[in-house]
Amino acid sequence: MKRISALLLALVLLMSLAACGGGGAKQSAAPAPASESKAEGAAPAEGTPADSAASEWAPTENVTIIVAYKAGSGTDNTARVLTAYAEKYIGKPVIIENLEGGSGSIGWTALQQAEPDGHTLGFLNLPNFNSSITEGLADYTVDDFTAICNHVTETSVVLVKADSQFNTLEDLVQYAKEHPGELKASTNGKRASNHIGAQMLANTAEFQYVDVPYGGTADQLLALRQGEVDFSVAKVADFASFTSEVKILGVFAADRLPELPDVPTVGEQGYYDKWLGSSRCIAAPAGVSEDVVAFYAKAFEQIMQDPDYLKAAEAAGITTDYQGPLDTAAMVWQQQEFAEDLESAWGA
Amino acid sequence: MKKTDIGVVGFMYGVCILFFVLSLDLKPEAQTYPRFIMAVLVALTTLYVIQMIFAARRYGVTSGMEEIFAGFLPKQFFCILAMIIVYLILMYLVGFYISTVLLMVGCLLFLRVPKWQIIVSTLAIIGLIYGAFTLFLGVKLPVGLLFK
Amino acid sequence: MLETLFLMGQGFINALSPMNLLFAAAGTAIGIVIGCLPGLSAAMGVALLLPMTFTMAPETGLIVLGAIYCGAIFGGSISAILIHTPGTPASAATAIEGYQLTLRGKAGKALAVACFSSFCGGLLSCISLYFFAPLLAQLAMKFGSPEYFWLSVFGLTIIAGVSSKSMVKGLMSGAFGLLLSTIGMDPIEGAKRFMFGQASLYEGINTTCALIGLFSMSQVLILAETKIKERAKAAKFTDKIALTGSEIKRLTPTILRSWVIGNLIGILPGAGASIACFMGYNAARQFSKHKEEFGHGSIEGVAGPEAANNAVTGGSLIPMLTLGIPGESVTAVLMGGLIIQGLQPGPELFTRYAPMTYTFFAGFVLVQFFMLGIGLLGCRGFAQISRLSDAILIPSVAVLCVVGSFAIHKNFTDVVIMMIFGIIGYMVRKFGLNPAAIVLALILGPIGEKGLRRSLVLSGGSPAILFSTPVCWVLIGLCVFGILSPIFMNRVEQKSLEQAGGGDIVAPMED
Repeated sequence: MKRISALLLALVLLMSLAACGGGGAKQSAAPAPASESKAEGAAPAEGTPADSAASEWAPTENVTIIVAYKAGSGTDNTARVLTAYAEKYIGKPVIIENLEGGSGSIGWTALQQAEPDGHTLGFLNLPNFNSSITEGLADYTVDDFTAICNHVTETSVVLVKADSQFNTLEDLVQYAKEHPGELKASTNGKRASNHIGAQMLANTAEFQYVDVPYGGTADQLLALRQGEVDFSVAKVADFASFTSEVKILGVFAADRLPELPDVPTVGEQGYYDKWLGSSRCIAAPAGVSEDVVAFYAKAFEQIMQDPDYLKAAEAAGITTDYQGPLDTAAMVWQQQEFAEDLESAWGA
Repeated sequence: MKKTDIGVVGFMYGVCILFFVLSLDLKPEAQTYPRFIMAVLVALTTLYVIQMIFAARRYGVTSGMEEIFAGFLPKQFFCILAMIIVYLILMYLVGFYISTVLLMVGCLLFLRVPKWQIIVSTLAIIGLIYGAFTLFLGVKLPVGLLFK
Repeated sequence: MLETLFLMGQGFINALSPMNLLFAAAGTAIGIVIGCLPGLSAAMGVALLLPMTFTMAPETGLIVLGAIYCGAIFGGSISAILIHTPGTPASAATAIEGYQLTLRGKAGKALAVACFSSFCGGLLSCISLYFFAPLLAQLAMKFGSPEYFWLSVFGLTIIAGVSSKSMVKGLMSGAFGLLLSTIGMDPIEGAKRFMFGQASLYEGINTTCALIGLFSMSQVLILAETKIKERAKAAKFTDKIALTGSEIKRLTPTILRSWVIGNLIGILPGAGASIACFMGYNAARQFSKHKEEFGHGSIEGVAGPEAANNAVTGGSLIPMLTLGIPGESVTAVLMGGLIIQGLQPGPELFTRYAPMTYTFFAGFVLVQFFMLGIGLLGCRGFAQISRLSDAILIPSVAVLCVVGSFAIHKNFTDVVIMMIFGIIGYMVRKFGLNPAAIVLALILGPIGEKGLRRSLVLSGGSPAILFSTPVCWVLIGLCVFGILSPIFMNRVEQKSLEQAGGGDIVAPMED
């Protein structure tokens, strides 16, 4: 008898766990309409996504967006801000699926293998996506994806600690040339995006340095703040919470950034003169129809102009940069060529 | 010493050899650290071999099998292990929920659990997983190749 | 100062709003459930529920996430104690003594001790969060690559402590774990090592996955090999849940030690609750006045790791909030949540946004009380699970292992890896090696490797860098103490064992 009652109790418990799970689900569904009502009135084409798109295609079920990094990561955060305002324009709930691992390749493989029916999209992180191809981490190629639009572009900058002896890029380069191999730069991983930046600077300025891989941008910048290394290359949003602790010596772009008007570009100072950074664009598996691409390109363009979205994006430090399908595809290819050409940049 | 420990020592040496062979493909800079760890493992294993030899001299050699596998029921153990492995294969083919029901019922029948307890505990586990994983956390459990 | 105190008081008033209380309670309960399911760690729980909080006020959202964090860290101990299945890596060490208590029919007591110590650890960590945050945050800045190397060496010395009978076998297990931790990308060269063609091994063997295999799946196999025990009959229940005054008195030193350990470990970026729980266990064991109970179910062996891992929660918030350094994967997600809400971590949180921050702190304190309440209420009920027949536990735990390892990355490869570790774990336990040592080495291996190799890159190959700072020397001192004390203790124990006439080699984890 005792045993039976024990089992029953356990069962009740298990069921209550399940019930509490169910309750939670309702909770998690609740915020969606709330966010919709908050955004009410702001949209010209409220609730009629078919009108807002030029084509006849529209999703008939929930849309899944694959993010190849964990929840709470930079990519995930920007994706969530975007999708929070998406339902109004897309007409169906947009769900983020985090498939992390394998330096992104696991999520992108899942996207490649997804049904090209327009109900599964994904974020491609350039140039990490390209290096996953060149490093042989995955079986897909650029051809396996159809670009829809670009969402975020972040530009790389050269950083030193606020109390560093270097005040300009010139100082740094001169010191590095006089003391070859003495300066240390923290990177977010061997041949990862920020290592590429440091290497490009070193190659064009013709100095030697030691790269120290830290495996992630947070750790990389912590090492800079601790004074373990002398300089670093990172993206503007990465150090937003401690801007006072660092000095920005140069921007990897053709022109100065509007948000950093006083910081010269690296090219201005005589070194690498092209844009370097990362972008996150939205893509679908290859084989989706043109109507699907047109529908989403239009929808995402509208989302990225939505005043509520823009307000949230600004608060979260997201640098929105919409680009249409053709421009985005060109960018993916250009980054791919860049990644393939990099082999020569690493030198011996 | 116990004869079973020879197996333990052999396993450790085997793992080291496997990793050493695999490390031949790596570039030299990447070889150092794993080989250092292998050296530590080999050294510790060898130390244990020496301890074993001393123990053998002092206390003699026992098989160790009877002691370790006292009360071992081979039929029950291997049937359950096989069921779990079949369960994984089935999950790949027919998806999570069907295979789970089959495993729970099959395993509990095999262990001669009263029928009503089988039903109750299968329902409890399915309910728990459906509630917590599928509904609440939105984890997409495998649907199986056949239903794709 | 007075102004700050006023803000703190104001925080409590804000946190006591019905909305915040409701969400704190719900968050704690959800956290406990997530924690006790294997495979769902605190980080995953927080990440999965993060989107839900976007539409809440920032402080409410943070309280919910904090509640889930604390609840999950405590919840992991429930399944660790009852079915030898640590729900999160943070309670791996709790399983060692907790499960022994369950086998002796004292599951309820073990749960109550876990709950009480988690509460104390969490509450005490709030003290440092409130009053010493800026000061302690400096510690995070002091820890560079050489320090991390020594920290991980110190962590590994615990192996000598957890492997009681044959230390060499314990160390062998540790070295085996270290070798397994080299699977995946080389952190310095970027080379792919020992990946057997699996892209999912690129970031190394997932600790949670290995843990589920080594602890839980192996437990299923151990249960499956012998005649099924009817627990309710097998163990006589003399299970009093309420803690007596003398027990609390006995646990107090352990909890205080674990608080300090957990808090400091929490502050160090990259270390985290799973290391703290082993260190807490080790300290409890080293200083215990009832050493003979270890290996056979010791309440200090439950209190040590549980107080330590919950003390991590408050500690790990410190560098995240004050310096924008996410110490753990959970705080990385929390930081993401803050940024989405438009709040940048840093000093501004304590000036411009101080009302919000102190409301969150107050909520964090309240969450500890909810955890104690829910935990103690649930103890009696949860303990009933330990009375289930092994026949029912075998398939149920197997299913939970599979679903848990699948949920980590929604990847079938992980399930296969878990199964391989299950069989390894079974063999390891059968042949007197130590699964806890393997898990510990898997957790610490990457930290130590990165620390060592990065230091050598920084110094151009000279090992002198490893001895260059005072913090290094403190850690070296701890390592020496960590190695010598168990050797010394083993001598004493062995003498008493020889007198008692025992002599064979059995790992302490075996049933």
